[in-house]
Amino acid sequence: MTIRIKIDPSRCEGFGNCINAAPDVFDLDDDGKVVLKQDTVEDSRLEIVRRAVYDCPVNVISFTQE
Amino acid sequence: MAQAGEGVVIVGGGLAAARTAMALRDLQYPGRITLLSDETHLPYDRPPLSKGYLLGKLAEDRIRLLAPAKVEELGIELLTGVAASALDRAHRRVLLADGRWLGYEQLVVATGARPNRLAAFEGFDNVHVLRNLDDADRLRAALGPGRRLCIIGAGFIGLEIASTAIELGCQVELIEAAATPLAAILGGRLGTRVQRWHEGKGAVFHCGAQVARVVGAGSVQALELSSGTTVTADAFVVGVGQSASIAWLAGSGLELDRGLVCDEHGRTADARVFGVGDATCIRSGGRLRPTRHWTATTEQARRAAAALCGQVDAEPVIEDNYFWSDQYGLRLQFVGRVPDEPQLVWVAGSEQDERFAVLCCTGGREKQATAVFSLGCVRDFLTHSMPLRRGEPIPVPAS
Repeated sequence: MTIRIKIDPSRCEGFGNCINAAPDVFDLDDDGKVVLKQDTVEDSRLEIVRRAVYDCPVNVISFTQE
Repeated sequence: MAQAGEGVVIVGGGLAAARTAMALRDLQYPGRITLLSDETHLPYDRPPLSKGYLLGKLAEDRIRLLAPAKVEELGIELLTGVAASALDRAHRRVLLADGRWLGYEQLVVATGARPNRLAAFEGFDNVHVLRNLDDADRLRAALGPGRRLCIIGAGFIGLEIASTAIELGCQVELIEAAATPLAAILGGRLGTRVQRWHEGKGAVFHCGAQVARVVGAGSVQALELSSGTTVTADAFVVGVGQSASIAWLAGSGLELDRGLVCDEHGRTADARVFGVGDATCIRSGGRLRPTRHWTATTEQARRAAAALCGQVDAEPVIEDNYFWSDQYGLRLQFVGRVPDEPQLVWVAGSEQDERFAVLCCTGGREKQATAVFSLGCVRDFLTHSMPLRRGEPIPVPAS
């Protein structure tokens, strides 16, 4: 199983909490909006992805396991 | 007696409660989840109450933590507008303010905190506090062009309200007992820097000041300060910190200090009772620390949900003391602890620039950065704060 990450950059306010949780997955673009460096990660990183989801104050990030 | 199938009862309706419920479902918790809130609103996020919501830029549906569709998707039963008034652990049940009992298999205390009040300001109709949505609506009605607002306490909540009120055209004065705003967190030099920034926007500060007398009948008209200065205003905000809402746990036999005492996984001495958020304080390494900040609460919720499901996150908790604020359209971010007599190393902008990022370092030969503060430099803050948020030292650029 892998984790597929989805983001809604239109809601992003550039807090950067997700980058702190997983700097290899999330980044900010030049407008300070979130971008994905990769949209799927290994199942073993579930807790780190969850941390990014919960640490986002504006509910930008979601994920599915497939 | 508690019945099988009563599931998890979460007492509280804020961030701690909402994130714990979400995390339980993420962990495939199959049982009932009941969320009990004394507010009549769906769970919402509090930081915008002093910023975007107070300004009128964000409506209630934009600050919700659990929208109606999410509540349904997660299968959460919401009981709103009713407070918990006592806990009966022997029978595993919570007494509600309306006299009903609610049984639980596992209980999460997430009742948050309430703003501290000052006795001299009680009983007046133009005195405000800000903790919940109704407080924000009431304060919003008092703000507008030409209105005079006086804020007692120049901490983060006071400064955020000052910023919003000035954007709405108010004249704002702040009264602060310490020598500068945020002195205890940022130290005097950066506290002064924040004060000058606010003064540039029009705020007036009375620092090192005590309120000697409250003048008025029905409404407060003026405050006489110990310095002899008189401050008149149309509305007053008391922003002098908060205390855990744990009065309902008196007599429960649980250990209470500045909050419900929990470990880093939200566990208490009762294996069925957990705590998350501002209602708690955490025992770790032989000392107690309050849970004060937004991301600390989301992390605690994630760990407590795991513990509720019988899992314990083995990763150590990093107490990074991270928080942010938004004022005058710029983001303030802070992480770490400022040492005594810090050496400040600017890594973006300078002391004269509106936007800057600064490392707060210990002195001496072994210069070590223990805190990062940024005003409007999100990217620089990220770069320099990430090591500290992982518990690693921050490289200090050679000066």
